[in-house]
Amino acid sequence: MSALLEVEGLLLRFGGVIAADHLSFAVASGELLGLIGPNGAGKTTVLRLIAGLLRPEAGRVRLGGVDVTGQPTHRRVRRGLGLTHQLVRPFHSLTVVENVMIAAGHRHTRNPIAALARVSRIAERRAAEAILVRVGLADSAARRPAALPLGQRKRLELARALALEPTVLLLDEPMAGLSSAEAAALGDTILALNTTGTTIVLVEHNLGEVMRLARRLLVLDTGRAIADGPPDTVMRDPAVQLAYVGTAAG
Amino acid sequence: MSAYLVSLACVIGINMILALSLNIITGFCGQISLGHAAFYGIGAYAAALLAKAGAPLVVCLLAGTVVAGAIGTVVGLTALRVRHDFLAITTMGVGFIFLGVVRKQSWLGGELGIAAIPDAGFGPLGYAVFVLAIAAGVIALSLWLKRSWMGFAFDTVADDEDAARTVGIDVASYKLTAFGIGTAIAGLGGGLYIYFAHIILPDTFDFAVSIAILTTVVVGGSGSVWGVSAAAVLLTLLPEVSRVINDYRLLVFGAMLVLVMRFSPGGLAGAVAHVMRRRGA
Repeated sequence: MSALLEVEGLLLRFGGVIAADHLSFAVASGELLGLIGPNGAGKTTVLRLIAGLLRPEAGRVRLGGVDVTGQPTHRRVRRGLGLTHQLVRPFHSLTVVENVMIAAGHRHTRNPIAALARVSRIAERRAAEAILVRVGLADSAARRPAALPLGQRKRLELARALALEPTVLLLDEPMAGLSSAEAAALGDTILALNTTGTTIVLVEHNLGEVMRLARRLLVLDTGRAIADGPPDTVMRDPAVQLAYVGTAAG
Repeated sequence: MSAYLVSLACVIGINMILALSLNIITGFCGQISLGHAAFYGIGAYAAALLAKAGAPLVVCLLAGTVVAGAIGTVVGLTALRVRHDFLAITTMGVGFIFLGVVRKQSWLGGELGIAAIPDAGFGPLGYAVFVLAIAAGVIALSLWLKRSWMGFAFDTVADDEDAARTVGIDVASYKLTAFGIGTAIAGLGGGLYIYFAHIILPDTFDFAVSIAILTTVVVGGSGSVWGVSAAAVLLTLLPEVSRVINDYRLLVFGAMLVLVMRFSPGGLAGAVAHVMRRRGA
């Protein structure tokens, strides 16, 4: 499998804190990579660096073999990157289905002037409704995001990212705040997406779900990769146990 | 129709154009501007200079539109770097810079402005109809824009810029477009004003005018085309029916801003929608 996403030597410091310490890894096409680590390890920072929401002091990000390090977020999205936020960020002035429609119509919003010439939203509404069915939000299509419980807002965040038809999907703690049943259901949706060919990088604290979903784990600690490999092997790694519980299990 | 009513129709039309132009920037795209009168003034001065040089009306109006839109787009570049209250202060500064410049430039008439601007040649009634027809055109453009994918993308920029970027929206381009279109239409309003007043003075485009335009947008309901259009009519007529309101215009408009933000943040449009919902329930 060829590398669809590559990060090379990413460096970012916040004052004295190193959030990404010359970090390098690659994600192959079709892979579901679990990116884990203790609090403050730099997981969200890495996703934001890949998405272009943060700029690295050094290092490169390649998407589909193209260096996108200098590109703004919207260009990376148009190259096939999808991102969900750790703290959900729906568009509150739009309904649930409109939140997904604006992403489904990404081809129409590429250029403001071309966007002015187009009015019809029928095809995008249909596409958005199909995605809402897929993530289990069909009944909430006409509601405002503020009226949804957290679990459904997390699904909306995922639906919006899916509407972009991404080749690489970055999921930042999609299960945080969900009950175990909700987390498992969302996990099944993520797994189904991956099965249909979407490459996924999953940042998640719910280790049980990560172990169930990911076929490869990358463990971060203080901005560095301390382990990378199959989940069972990685979780037995003394360095990983040390980072998580402060002591290596015998 | 009396001369008074004809001139009132002209003022309503021009005020509607100004309010709808700011509504594109503030209501649709969520970018505050406290210096919108500057673009009204830029359009007026550009059109007046050409009119005095003998250029036909269409050329003068187009020049006012293009010059204001071009300078507005440059000012829009500041909106890419600052947000919210910082943008409010920056745009307010643009308004003062405009006044400071025109007051000191002899080729712009300095404090005395530009007088003896030629007539449009339609007669007072014909010109009022012309202004109202253009105002109707601006309403139609606003409605189209709101329904288009540009308006849809503006909604996301107004809501959350970072989230908009993550659905592929080029936030900078959309903000510049909003500033370009909004300030160009304000410039058109300025061009129309010169053929109505036949004289322009720097004070016609001062800070109080910027506040009056913003008040119209807020009272109408920021983002609502019909609400802002209705507010333009109401707030133009209000000082005409009461001498006291006219004398204390800035105070009254300031109080209106506070009251609307406190009791009906959605303005007239929001209040009407609320009543309709209650009736439907």
